Amino acid sequence: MIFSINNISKNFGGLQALNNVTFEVEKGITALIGPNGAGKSVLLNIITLLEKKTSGSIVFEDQRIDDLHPYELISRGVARTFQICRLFRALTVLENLVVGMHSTIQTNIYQSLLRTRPARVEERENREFALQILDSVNLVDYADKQAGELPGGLQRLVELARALVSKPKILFLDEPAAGLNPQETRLLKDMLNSIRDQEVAILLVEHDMQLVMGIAEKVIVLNYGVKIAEGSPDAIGADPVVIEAYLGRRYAHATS
Amino acid sequence: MQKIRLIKLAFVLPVAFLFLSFPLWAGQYPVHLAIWASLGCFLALGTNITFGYCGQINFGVIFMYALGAYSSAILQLRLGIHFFLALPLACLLTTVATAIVCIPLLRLRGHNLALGTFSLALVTYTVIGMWRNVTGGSDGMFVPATVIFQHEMGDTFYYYFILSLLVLAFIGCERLVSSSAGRAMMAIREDEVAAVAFGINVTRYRRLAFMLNGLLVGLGGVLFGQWNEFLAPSYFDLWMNILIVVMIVFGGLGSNRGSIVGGATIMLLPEALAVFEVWHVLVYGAILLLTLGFMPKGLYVTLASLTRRLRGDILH
Repeated sequence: MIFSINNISKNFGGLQALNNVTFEVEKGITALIGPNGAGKSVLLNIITLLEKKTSGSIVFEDQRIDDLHPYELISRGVARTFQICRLFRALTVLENLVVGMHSTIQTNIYQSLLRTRPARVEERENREFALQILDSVNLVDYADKQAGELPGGLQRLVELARALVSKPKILFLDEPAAGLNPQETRLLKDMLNSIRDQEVAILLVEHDMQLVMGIAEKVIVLNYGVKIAEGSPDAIGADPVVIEAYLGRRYAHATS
Repeated sequence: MQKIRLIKLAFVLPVAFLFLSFPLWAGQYPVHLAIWASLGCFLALGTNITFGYCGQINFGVIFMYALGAYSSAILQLRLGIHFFLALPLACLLTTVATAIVCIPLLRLRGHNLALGTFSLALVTYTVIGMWRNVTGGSDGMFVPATVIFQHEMGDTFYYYFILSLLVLAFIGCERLVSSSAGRAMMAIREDEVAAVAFGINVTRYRRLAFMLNGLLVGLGGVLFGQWNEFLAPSYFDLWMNILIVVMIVFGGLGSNRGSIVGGATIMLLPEALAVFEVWHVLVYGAILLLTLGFMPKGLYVTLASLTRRLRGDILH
């Protein structure tokens, strides 16, 4: 087990968005699914410390991380993407990736301002690594393009590439296939498989069930802020509670 | 690549020669105006760091400007320190003071930060006017002239001194933009939540942006006071505060070259429009309105992107 959350609850005033959610994430791909409003994105924001939890604990590599500052998380190896693409739109694709490596920078601000030799070397190495990652996801041709000018699908892939340059141990992906065309979805699937091969754990929040069932080793289902099921894709696909709450009978018939 | 470098050099060398020889062939008044324009560039360059690069609204620039000017003057008058020592001390003082006011200010964001910094400008103006023992109040205070080897320095000295510091400040700002710190600031401007998720300590870089703003604007204040040899609250009123913001918007937010263009233009425009006599304020307003109406990204940024597009068309 690389990551776990224990009894996470979140209240917004009188509304309980999450109720004692507990699960573990192993190496490989774990999918988190559920209908809109189930609390998936809130949970992801809590896990990545962008939102405060009401109760519960978050453990990564046997250490509690919920008392860290959100900006400290990435240096521990925790990276994420967002449901609504959050690229630095006025920066180029390459610059977006170099910002993604901010937590790995060894030289300090003053060295960077004075362009000392170590700062120059580090800058060059970071750019080379960012280009290497862009090349691995077939985006190297867009390196000097302004990120905000790219089509939506490509922006999602750049966002994923930006998360990758931080060399994460665990990656939280919030609906990465939303807005992708079939070709881009295939590219995303290849990327996720390749990330898994690099021993990176992935928690994938996704509505594209074909993608989820074809790629995940474990599926966790949330409904109204409560975990209603957890298991292999096959077991989840056949679970009557999950079919009732989220997948629907048509999905069950189509897959059986 | 080599060709581009040569073309750049062919442009830079004559411009450098023009600026270096300017006091030799231009009269006293144009040199005076050039100094005035350069001072505007310091204010614009500094404020562009917070406003343009880091996306933090700063309507309290006058605080930094006045603190630089008055602290340098007071250090010279009260402690008998030479200008060359008072200058770095005043800059340091302004930077540290900016860091201190950042502690409460950086709890604010967006419109609240705008109001918070604006109150700082109001307080600054009031304090300068009321604290007569220290600032001379509305009567103002004289600043000792710069003396080197028993010679009082004039406009030619200030021209070269201010221009050299401006070149250094510009190079520093350009380096900031291409450094990891500059990119972190731009990331904060673009999307603060994503910046945090990618390991950027937002408070730290917002503070750094304000401190660098304080350093450059404080330096502008020191140089202004020294050159003008007189300080009064009227130099640090809300109108000046607004002008500084206009400079960076006029030149182009998030562009150091735009700040130079905006800073120099806004400082010189009233002089150039003096021929319109009583109508000059009206013409001034019309020019600003038309420029920002037709070039919302600012004069320099719009013209630069137009030039790039034209160059692309010609090359293809």
